[in-house]
Amino acid sequence: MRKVFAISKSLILKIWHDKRTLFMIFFVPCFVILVFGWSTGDIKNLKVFVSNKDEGFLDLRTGEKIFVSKEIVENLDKGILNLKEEDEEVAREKIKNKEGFGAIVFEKDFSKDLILKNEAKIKLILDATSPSISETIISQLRKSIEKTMKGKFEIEKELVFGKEEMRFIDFFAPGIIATASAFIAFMLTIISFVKEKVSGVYERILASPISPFEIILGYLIAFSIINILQSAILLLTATLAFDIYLKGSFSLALFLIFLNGLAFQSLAFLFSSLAKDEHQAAQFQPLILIPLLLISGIFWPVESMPGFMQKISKFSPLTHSAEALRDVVIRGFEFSQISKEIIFLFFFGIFFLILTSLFIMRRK
Amino acid sequence: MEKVIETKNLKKKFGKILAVDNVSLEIEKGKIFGLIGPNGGGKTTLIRMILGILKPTEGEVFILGKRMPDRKVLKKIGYMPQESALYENLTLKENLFTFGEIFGVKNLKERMKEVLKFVGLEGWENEMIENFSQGMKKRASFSISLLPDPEILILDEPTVGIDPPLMVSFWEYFKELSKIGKTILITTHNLQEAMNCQEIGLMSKGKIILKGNPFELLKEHKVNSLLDLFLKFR
Repeated sequence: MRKVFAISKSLILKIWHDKRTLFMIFFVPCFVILVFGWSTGDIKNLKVFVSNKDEGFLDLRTGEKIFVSKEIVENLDKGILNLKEEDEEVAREKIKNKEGFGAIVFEKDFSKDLILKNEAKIKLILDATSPSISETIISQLRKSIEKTMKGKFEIEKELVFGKEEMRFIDFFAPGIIATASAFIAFMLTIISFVKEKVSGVYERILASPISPFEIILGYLIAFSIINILQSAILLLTATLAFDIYLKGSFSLALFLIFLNGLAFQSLAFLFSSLAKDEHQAAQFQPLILIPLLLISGIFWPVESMPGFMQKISKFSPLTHSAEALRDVVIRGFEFSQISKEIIFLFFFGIFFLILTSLFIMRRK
Repeated sequence: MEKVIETKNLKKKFGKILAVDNVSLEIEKGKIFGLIGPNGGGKTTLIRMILGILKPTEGEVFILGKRMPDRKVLKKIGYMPQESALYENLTLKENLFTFGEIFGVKNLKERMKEVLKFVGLEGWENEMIENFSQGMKKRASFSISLLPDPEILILDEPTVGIDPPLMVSFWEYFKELSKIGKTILITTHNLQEAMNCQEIGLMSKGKIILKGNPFELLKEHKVNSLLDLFLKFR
């Protein structure tokens, strides 16, 4: 037994002496759970338009006009839905521009039909990209109708984006593809960079007539080639094997994945200058990548996160690439419509590349 | 004589530790200068500052009259780091090709043949470095530093971990190169082989404590070996 304990003791001592690993073992799991807890929440504050053309029904007994539509709107949960009155046409355009998730439209005979025929139609214009968001809007509307009055209500859906019976995989695919490319770009870069540091190759390169920026550019080109090939394989596999909903341009999606990879490569460059060996490099995965994954609207919409996490989420390149990729794949957006995200990803990459170059130069 | 490498009051602090303490050196053209001393004495730190990879806390370095760091000067220096510094999963040829391109070597193919012949690695071009023995890796690493036909060779512990016959042939290479006017700065903690140098600097705790021709130093201080000399001045 003494021999057994000697082995156990040496292992525990090893971890105890390596403060960095100690930190990783105890702090990182806590950190990941905290980020997870902080970034989950109920969906709320969804921007939904109301276009009420209901002319009401004149109650002959009292001489007053009855507006059932107004009551329905009244009974909607204002915490979950952030309502705004808008003309139907304007609302539709705004949804197309991603300024809202849906619009509830009451036609002019709504109250009349309901009271006289006991059946009425509500039109729901919807951005059906995210099943969880569109289901929330529909269920909130149903709840409010039930609360207001009995009758045969028909909710007629008009989908601006997405399709009827949008599967979870259709919604998740773009985010998961962005995540996969980000993880691989990050790990590939960090591990090969650190490996060359350990082997001394990097030392030799530093002592050669090449500038830090040229070194990084060289890396970038090589990994970008791998990144593009890998992105194409990812997209093709997803579309061929699972028949995911692909509305927009394949090549634009590819370009986005490439940019996303670029952003994560440059992030990896910075972190690889902080890692001494492959072991330390691998530890960045739970510390950097998993939290980014949790806050970037991959698994749950950014809209469901608490306010402060939503703000932090805006700094994650993955938030932008996943959203832009959904814009292209599901919403069928074109280049000009995702230019903001493209600019963010591009400058994020450039910023960290320059930072790393300066870092290398300062050490020289 | 032409001063090829010159350091003036070089100092490097890592936190509170003074790794290199006020080192002023002059190395003349065609000389083999040995930086001798125990591990952790500051040899590698000094070399890295000379190359401009590490920023000195204080002091200056001039190589071929140019103040370092200067990327253009690096073209004229063949550097062999302590680690093998090779791409393990590339072939020897691919390794040579990579660094040859980085250094802008002209007639690279022919130059590759020349250096491989010089270090006796002909016929191994297409072999992966990971299959090389320790000694072969050292020779491969040396061949890379020779590739740009540099005026200066800076070799950090080139003979550590290699067997005596190879050590002998390495010193033959160095002497041959010195004869044709190459300046060689070499570090070693092997005091015996240091006798091959034309000039040595004994380095301990970041300081150069003694400097001169090894034989003259022995005579001057009336000791039999560099080890005795080192123990005397430690």
